[in-house]
Amino acid sequence: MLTLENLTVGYGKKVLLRDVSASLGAGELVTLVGANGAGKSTLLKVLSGDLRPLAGGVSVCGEPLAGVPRIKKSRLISVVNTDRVEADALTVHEVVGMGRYPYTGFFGRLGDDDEAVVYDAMKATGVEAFAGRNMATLSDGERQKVMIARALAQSTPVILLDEPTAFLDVASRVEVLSLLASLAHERGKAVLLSSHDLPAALDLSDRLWLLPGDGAMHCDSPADLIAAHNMVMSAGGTCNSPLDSLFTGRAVRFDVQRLDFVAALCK
Amino acid sequence: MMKRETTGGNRRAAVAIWVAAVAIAFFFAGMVFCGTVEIPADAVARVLFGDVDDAVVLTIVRDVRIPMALTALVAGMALSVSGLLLQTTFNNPLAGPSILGISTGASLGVAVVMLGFGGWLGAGLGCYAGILAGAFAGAAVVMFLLLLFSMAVRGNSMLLIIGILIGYLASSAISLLNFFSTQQGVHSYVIWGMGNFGGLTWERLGVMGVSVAVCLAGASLFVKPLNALLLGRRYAGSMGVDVRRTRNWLLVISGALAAVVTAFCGPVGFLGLVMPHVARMSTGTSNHVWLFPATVLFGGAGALLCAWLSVVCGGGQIIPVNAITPIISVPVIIYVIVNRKKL
Amino acid sequence: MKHIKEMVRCLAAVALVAAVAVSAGCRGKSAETSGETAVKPEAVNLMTEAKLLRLYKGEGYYRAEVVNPWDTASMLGAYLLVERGVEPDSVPEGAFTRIDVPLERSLVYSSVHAGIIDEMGAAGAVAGVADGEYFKKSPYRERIAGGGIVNVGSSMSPSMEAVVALSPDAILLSPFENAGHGVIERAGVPVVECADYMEATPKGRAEWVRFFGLLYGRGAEADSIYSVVRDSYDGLSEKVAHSGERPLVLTEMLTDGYWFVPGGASYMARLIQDAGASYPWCNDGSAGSLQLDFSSVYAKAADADYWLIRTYGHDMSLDDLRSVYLLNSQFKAFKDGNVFVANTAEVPLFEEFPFHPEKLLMEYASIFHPEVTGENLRYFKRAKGY
Repeated sequence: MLTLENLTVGYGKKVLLRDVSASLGAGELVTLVGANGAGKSTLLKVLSGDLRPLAGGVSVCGEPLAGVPRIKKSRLISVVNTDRVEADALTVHEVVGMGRYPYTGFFGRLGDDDEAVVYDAMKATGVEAFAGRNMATLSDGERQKVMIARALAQSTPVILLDEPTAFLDVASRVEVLSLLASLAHERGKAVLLSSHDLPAALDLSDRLWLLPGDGAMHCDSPADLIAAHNMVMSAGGTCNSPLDSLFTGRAVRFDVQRLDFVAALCK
Repeated sequence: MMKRETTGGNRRAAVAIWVAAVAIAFFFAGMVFCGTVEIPADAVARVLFGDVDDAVVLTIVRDVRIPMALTALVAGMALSVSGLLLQTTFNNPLAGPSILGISTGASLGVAVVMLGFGGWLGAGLGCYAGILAGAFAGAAVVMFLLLLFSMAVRGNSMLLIIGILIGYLASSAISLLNFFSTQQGVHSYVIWGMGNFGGLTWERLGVMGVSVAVCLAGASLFVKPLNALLLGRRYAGSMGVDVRRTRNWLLVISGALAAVVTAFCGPVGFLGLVMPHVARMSTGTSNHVWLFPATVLFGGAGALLCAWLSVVCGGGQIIPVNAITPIISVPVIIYVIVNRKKL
Repeated sequence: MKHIKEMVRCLAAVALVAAVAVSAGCRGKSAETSGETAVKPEAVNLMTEAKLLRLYKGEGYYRAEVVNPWDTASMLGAYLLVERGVEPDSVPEGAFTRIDVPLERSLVYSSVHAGIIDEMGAAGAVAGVADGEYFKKSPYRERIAGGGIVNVGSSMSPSMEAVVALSPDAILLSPFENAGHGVIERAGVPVVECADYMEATPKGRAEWVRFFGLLYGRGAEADSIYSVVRDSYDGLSEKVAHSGERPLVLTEMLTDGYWFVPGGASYMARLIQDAGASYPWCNDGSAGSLQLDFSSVYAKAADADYWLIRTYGHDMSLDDLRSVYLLNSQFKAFKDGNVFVANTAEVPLFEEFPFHPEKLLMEYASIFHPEVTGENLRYFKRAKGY
């Protein structure tokens, strides 16, 4: 669905990712993990077409992303990010309805088909009960779900999400991640999200893309990553498995029991 | 599969739009029946129904009061839509045609014509065409600069600040022109700067009306992208909106609306900034499908209210428009700022 | 808490300094506006028509008082005119500005004053002017161009250095032009506030020539000029008073959305009525202008018989009037072709009428009652296009 070909990503002189190749397929849930500043958001911007890569290219559904016209691209890729949305006076229904933008006519009127898709998206994300309420009356978690519903209503094969669980409480986080997993596994979407929630990522994702911050990207399934970590540990090393490499030089190490990072003294 | 019926927000919006329409009718009637000259209501009514006995009353009602009311109506519609487009484009509730320097640019164009080319003389004497051309040229220069900078500057706040700075530059150029000009010229310019809904003949009113209608029609084509822009540039772009081109078009239309009004009425402040907020608060929605017509109607009503007040509060004189608009507008702006969270 | 105390102390210090500065600055002004608030009952005011000027003759001096037009209970200035080098036996009480007459190197702001000074034969006593570009007539124009008369710049903000360098023996200006002359006054140069333009009657304004005559040592010439003016004026107004109808007269035009018409008690209204016409706003009591909109003017003057317009630099035709504002063509005077225009850039209207109102009176009388005067028009022309 989404292919990265020798992609180099960064801003001006600063290179964040160098010569990275990877692919995201239909039905896959991939989580992008890395420290702040490692390049997660930048990579997502390049993948959604918002930012040009420094070198290399991205293909979506076989076509080079750079050549895809705007409307067509909006039918292939939808995004969810952490941008503050100034839509307080819009109803949930109106916001989700905007996901049908690439398909509706002049004033954005929703036809019967569109309404059906919108309703379905709201139901899938669990916000159909709020349909008539203004966005201003929702909590952060509910609002985030609405934005995901909007992306879902856009009916794209690829969905890119930048830290979708950033401001959510634990329950909402679990709900959102389960939702994303079902979008991938049950509806066949290609879902890529960035997250700091490592345990959930290891639990639900098909693969993780790790950004240690040295310009490379390490792609592996959770099982393989844990196995690799165990191998390194049993060989006597600490703080230098692929997972540990996410935070080299910091005073944390990956703990297989908790599937998360814990405080440690690494040399 | 369930079909959603229209939600409650639309009903409130519809009611608000009706209220605005009624307000327009009410204040329009007020403008026709009230004026600087005492004319009994029955005399006015007779003239309206075709009884053209008293030539003086006929002239005053048909050729002075009604055109003034229509001018205010059209100007209010134009300015408030101009403000709406700017507020959504720049994602900033304090954006307006005056703030971005477009009205000031138009004023500078007029100042160049009035003060540079023969002072009062040129202005008063059917160099009306010159004033129109000057206003459009001035607004166009500012819009061009804004477009230029919009390519170099990424954020919306930054562009807003650049607009404000351009406005200041234009103001200082106007001050310089004033300084080197004759007293009569300066006086003329100062009076012009106070804003005036009167003085338009039916012919000029027609030109103004058609220009504004064309711009409003053009703006209405952007209802869908405007809604998308509410979610932010990135979301709008991800939904297929050509953000840059849309922003440029919206700037052009907004600038054209401001230029037309400035050319015919002088620089009228505040209405462009405030009326979209009144529309938003009354309809309770930001959905431009409702907000656009509401802004048009509330803009017209607001301008008519200001025009009516300028006539009836002056004790036989007409108070300049720009003295009235802040009094009405500033409380609204403060209310909006204080209650920012709600809307 | 400490911060607040500091701030309060700071503010108090600033306020104290500001108060001192303000009072020091104001002291200069008050010397000017104080003075006699009541006229000594035994002195005889030599002025008969002028209301803003009082002139008294004393032993070896003349005393002049300029009334404040905006507050007639107070004075704008009081002057003691004394012959150069002569000390009068007794000097009246009160604060005065002493002026040594006749003036020899005066600074004159108004070209109208300069004109009458020349007419009295004292043009040589003008050493400096302001707004020199408005002095279009000889001998001033040549002398200004040649540098013989110094142009100190704009009357609104003259170059103080030029004024000081000129060291005039008096400055003649109008009250609202008297800004920032503290430096000069402290140096002892008398500033004469000429409020003649605020006089509400034609003869009253013209009578100020007698004051100027005393300032420039041309008392006899000035008196004679005034007598001729007064007699011509009275004679003519008497003649037209009995000539039958009084036509209705409208003046000025709509500019920038406002129509400034003279008030009922103003100079121009008086002149119109003295010329045997009637004025739509004669019942209004103000001596200044009325700021009206088109409707108000139209409601009262739609049927005016004559329409007089003064322009600057343009010979306005009926077509021009129509294109400036379409509804101008609805006035009866327009339809009858009785619109008269004076292009003040080309005719000496503004230069002449202040001290020769009889000429303007003759002009108006010739328009309203041509059968009585039989004169050609000096300033106005019938608007073309009829």
